[in-house]
Amino acid sequence: MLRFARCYSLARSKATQIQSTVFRPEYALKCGLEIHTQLNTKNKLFSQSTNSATPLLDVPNHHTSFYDVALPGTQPVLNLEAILFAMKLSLSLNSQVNMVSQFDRKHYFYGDQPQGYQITQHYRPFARGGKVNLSRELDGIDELSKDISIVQLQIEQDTGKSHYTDADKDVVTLVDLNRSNIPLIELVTNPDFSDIKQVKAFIKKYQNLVRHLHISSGDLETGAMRVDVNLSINGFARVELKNLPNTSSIINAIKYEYQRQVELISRGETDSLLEPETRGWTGSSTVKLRSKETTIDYRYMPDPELPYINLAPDVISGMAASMLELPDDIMRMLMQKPFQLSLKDAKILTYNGNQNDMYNHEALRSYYLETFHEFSKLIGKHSSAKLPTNWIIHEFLGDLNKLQVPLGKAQEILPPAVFAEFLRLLYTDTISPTSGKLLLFYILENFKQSGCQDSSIPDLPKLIKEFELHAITDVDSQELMTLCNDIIAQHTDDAFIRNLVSGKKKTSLKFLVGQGMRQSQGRIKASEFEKKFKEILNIQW
Amino acid sequence: MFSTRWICRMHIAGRINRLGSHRLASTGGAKIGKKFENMGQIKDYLSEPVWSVHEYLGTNVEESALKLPPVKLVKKLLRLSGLPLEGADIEGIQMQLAKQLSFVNRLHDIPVEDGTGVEEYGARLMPRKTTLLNYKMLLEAVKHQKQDADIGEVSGSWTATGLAAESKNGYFVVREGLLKNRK
Repeated sequence: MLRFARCYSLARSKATQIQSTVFRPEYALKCGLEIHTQLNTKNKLFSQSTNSATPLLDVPNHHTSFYDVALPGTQPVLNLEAILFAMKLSLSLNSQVNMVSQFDRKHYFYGDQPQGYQITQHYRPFARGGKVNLSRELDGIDELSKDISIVQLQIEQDTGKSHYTDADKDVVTLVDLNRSNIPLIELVTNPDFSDIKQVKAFIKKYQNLVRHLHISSGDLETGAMRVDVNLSINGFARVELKNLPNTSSIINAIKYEYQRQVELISRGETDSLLEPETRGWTGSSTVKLRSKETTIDYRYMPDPELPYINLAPDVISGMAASMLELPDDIMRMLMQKPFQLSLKDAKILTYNGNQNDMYNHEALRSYYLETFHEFSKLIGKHSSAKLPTNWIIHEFLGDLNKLQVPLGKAQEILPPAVFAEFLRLLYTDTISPTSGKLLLFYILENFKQSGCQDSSIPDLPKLIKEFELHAITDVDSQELMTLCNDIIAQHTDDAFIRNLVSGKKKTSLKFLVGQGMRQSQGRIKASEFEKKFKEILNIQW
Repeated sequence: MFSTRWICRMHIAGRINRLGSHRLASTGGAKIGKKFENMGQIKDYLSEPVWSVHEYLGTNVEESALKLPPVKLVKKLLRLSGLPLEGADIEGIQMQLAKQLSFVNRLHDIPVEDGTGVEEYGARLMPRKTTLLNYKMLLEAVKHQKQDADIGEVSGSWTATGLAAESKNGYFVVREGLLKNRK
């Protein structure tokens, strides 16, 4: 028990240490990233076996050809789809594509590497150079703008997966080669990162980029994207951090390693920082895996079975012409006139959070833009940019999530032109926002109850009439007075009134207005209630 | 001359070996010679002396003239290759490696055909001039991807672990000793 308690306290102190890491200017952090990204090509890199999109659900060794398991006599044939995907990424990062690149063998022995070597691009990679721009405006870094430069992009094959067991001391490794030979792109950055925010922003941005380009799921959790960190402080030797399964591991490992090295430097114990080493992340600390003495000699050699990739110039121009607009450009477009979205809303329309089955950001963005366009046509100006934003991104999406109706389905009954008409009713005060919420939810709920089958377009004026949802524009002053007096009698006492009238508790007025809205089912405007309450209670502020 | 003939022969072998033929066809650079009509023609072709084994293998070089790789290097190579150090005939391996190195060095010195601008040392077995891939070709190739069940590319068309000496629940099994304790 005592032992447990002691361990617990140790773990806690480590966690606290990571949380409270302070980056000090006298210990300058220099960091670079190596990111492996699985390409979601239809088939694998050097065979045509299936590159499965659901690796966690697959039967082991189900998607393996003779080549993937390295049966003697099999040879690689390049899947050209990987070239197109690599080209897309290179162009979006402004990298210089090598018109002639080649594949090389990197030798090492491991159970999940059946060939005894991995085919990669060592001597002539697919592309070199390029950059990712991070900005305070879009990425929340401290600097106004910062470029992270890229060393190179190389295409290579993934290994199989090892599952370690130690049941009954019969220690064996179970090997699944479904992942063997899936195409990867390894991206290496220069050591341009000088703080954690930049690392975080880069990973998020790169992850969104590969999703935006439809070349990878970009998921860290499934291993579709794997990040290694190179780190050094004050010019000491580089330490490579591996086994970082998610963003928090990456961040915590950097913080821990920074702290560890700062302590060594401040104590003058820098011997261990003179030679590069590789360290792994245990979840709470970094541990040494390899140092220079045990560095693997990979014995690189050009692969004698694969021809050079020899690209014609029109591959670059053809791909460039078919490229989608990039996320940063889309974000800036959405944050400027006429849309004027907040950063958060622009991100909802640009970033694929990959967590929502009801919509994807691309479909949502195109729905938003079309509806905005239709709405602008109806009202003839752009002064109400907030109306489409609030009603589509917040109300409409909220309803879809609540009712579990996919956007693609909901669009059948609420195409952009109809939603724009609905917005016009709100804009012209034909219905109040409260009535609008009721109406929108009613329409979607009805659609859901039909099993999303009844795709007839709702007749908005008819529904408003049927449920008496139209706003009461000509409010009878006497009736309003009676309603307000009833509310005051039911919900207030002397102290409440005193504090409200004196201005000590101004928010109480909002409470009364809220009650009024509730009783009138939102059909009377809030401003009418506010005016009447002030009149009755003789509020002077 | 050397490289052309070599590729030519590999391709003939490919006709016999289905897998080899399938793979080589995709390199796009291998030359296809006239079709052989009978076994006699094949025998004649293969018996035609093109180069002497001894000339390249270093068997005509005095063993004493060979430069032996140092013991340290041999041990390192054994470790890298996952081979046991215990009981290894280091001297024998040194001699074998020396002969292989002599062979490789000879290969590197052979003039390369169409080798304008190519150092002998940089020559490769693969064709030096590969087909230029244009955008249309890439798009077409992506559109017409086809899986071949004969080489196991169709998921579930064969049992990958069927040839393994040991498997468990569909996984290959690797004993710990193979991964660790290799030094």
